[in-house]
Amino acid sequence: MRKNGAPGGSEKTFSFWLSVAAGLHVAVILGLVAQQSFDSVQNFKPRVVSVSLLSLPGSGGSSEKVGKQVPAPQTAAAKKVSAPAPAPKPTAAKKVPAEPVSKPEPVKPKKEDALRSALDRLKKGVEQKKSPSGADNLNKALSRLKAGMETSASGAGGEAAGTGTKGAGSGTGGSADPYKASVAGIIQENWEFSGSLLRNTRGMEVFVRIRVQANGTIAQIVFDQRSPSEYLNNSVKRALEKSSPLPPFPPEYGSTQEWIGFVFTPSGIEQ
Amino acid sequence: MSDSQIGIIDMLFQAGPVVLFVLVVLLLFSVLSWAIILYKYGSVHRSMKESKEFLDFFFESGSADRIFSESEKFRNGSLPKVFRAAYIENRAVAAAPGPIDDRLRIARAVKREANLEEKRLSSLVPFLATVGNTAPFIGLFGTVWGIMSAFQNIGLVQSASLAVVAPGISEALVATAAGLAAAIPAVMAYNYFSQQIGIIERDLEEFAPEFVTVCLHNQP
Repeated sequence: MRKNGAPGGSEKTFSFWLSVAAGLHVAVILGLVAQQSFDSVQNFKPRVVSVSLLSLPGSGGSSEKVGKQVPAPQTAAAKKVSAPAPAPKPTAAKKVPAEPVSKPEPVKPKKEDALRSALDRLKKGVEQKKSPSGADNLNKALSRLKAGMETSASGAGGEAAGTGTKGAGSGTGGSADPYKASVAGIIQENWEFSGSLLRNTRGMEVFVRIRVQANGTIAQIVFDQRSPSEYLNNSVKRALEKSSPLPPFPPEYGSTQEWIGFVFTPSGIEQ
Repeated sequence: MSDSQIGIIDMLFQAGPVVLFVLVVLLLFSVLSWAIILYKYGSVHRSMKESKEFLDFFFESGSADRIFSESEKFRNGSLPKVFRAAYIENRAVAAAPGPIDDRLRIARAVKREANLEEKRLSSLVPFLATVGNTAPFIGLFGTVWGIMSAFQNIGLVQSASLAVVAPGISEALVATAAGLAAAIPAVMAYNYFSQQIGIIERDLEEFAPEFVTVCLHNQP
């Protein structure tokens, strides 16, 4: 007879149940991780419009001349019309609201599409020109546009020529633009953010665009991509609201309003 | 990704070392608690079941020899074990009579075996009570510590908006949730096992004199 009360032969040992319990806990934790991953994959629909795509054609800056009409020939469906028709205005060029800073609005992908379609129409229109040197003109215009971009990187937004008409060039050279650099500096000064609150900096990027009027008022703030931390998002919003009004445009800008894009990360602001 | 999609795992990655330590301790408590629960459930359940079956046979059969041979089938039951102890002591008394009264010797052997059974049944169970009592406090400690850190960070950024306050507190509350998750099953299991072991102990006290009497009547 077992005097020490040891379990019988069919009874499983405590170590067996210990491993079972550990396995159960591991399964629960893995289930939590899997559920979280599944939820994030299922629900993550980023409303991402890369800020750099809004620049035409530069990649450093992220602005667009919204105050100017982009002249472009009509599409092939309207071949008979010789005069180039203005491209549809980008949605960003809608009426400037009276209040200095409006609430963030979701980014509409139509803006990007409109820009691309305008570019395509411009190219097609130039190709369809009756002049035998149409293609050459296009190439020349594009090369002039690029050259203008490079040369005016330190200056104001250049007006790139496109087949003798005003082009849709933005050409501001990103952080090389002194006005935009000063804007970034002002926002940086007004940005109250402590990285110590974010122990995990993974994916902590906020892509944001602001529409600035000629007098420096920030007319609109658009979050192209929010970070997982609402603290970071709100600090960015507060910094932008606090920075309004910005300095007025330099005289060489010539436009009524500008879109400027920034990327806020815990390490600082990138243009 | 919005904040609502930030799950517990993300919060753990952002937790401080003290909160993480608390969570690890609570995880160990929980693992041990569940191991004890599973182990003791099997043990107590078998003991109850075999004791009941043995008692049915005990009242049906009047012969101690038959009961003893039948008790070999119930190796995990408490009552069969105590009966076997009484029977073996009765045999020893018959083989080598001593100065002490036979009934007293057998009663002592029964008492000894009953104590051993009680010890075996109640082993590890107090740990469940310990977990049930301390795990919420350990979790609360982690929460208090996490909230302290959160408030320090709030002081650094000099902002008390909900966006600043909420993540830190939410992260700290994970520790309390973990403490409760460890404590609730432990308390429930402790109450269940206490009740079951109490039933077995009362059976042992009740039937021990019966076993002694049956063995004495069966003396050759």
